[in-house]
Amino acid sequence: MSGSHAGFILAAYGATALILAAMIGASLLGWRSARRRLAALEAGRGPAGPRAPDLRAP
Amino acid sequence: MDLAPPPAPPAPAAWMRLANPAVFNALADRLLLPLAVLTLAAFAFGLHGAFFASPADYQQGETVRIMYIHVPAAWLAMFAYAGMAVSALGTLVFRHPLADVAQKAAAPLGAGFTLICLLTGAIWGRPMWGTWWEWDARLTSVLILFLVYLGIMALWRAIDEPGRAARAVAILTLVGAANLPIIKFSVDWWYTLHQPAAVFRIDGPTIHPSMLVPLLVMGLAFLLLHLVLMLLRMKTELALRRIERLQIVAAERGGAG
Repeated sequence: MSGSHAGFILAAYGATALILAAMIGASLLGWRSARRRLAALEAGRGPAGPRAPDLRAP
Repeated sequence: MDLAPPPAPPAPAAWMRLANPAVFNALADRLLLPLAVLTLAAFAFGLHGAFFASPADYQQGETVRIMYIHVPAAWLAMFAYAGMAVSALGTLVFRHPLADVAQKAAAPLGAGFTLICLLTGAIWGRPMWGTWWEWDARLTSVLILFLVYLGIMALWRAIDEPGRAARAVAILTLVGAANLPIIKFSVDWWYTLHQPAAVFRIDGPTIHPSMLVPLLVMGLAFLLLHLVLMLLRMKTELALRRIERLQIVAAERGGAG
């Protein structure tokens, strides 16, 4: 494999790996974040979930 | 007077049963891991074939190995868009609740595959054609596809109300679908620097089997990856919509209380 062509092959596969990693990473992070937010909301712990009862004495 | 009970409604077709997010999520949960394992295996076999089991080309030399990612990326760029066009019909004609979810999930993936296609094509073109870029019909129409993907992603973000956004995106997607046959047949309709189709031809592939097999395996790997990421992104979108509904309900409760 000639040196200059090896550089082009490496660049092509490197760019592809980076873009695929970005696609996979963004999808996984998005899913993890959404799942956590949904779990928190359904458990009533979310920012706009049902309010916790006020346990302080009146 | 006949007082017989009304006939039971017909069972919904399988694709309509998937309109229920719980049914879809359960199916996606069952499919995700096997599909991910298959994806990894296909990439392992495909890359082995691309680097070790296939010969160098008599004209292109070792640079032909870029073809094993460039061509599958081009296939998936068009496949993802074709799927979005079908989803657009699902949104506008059948009003299937998952159609716009699928459309929204597919756009960034299609844009990613198109970017891979454009970049690897430019990197291949420099040593083979002597230029990174040429404004020929095939290259330009794929660049337009990439810009359409970006436009669709921007339109999703520009309209707050999901129903209106879905309909606007569906119309834009169907208009952009006119570009697909232009991409496919550009090498036949115009004189282009890009070589004509070598795999999907009426008279059969013109590539030697030693190169065709790794190329098809890499195509399968890209397709499986697309399916895995589609399922994951659709589950994410459904979760985000449920979060929004829960927040609205909570806000209404808070406002009423």
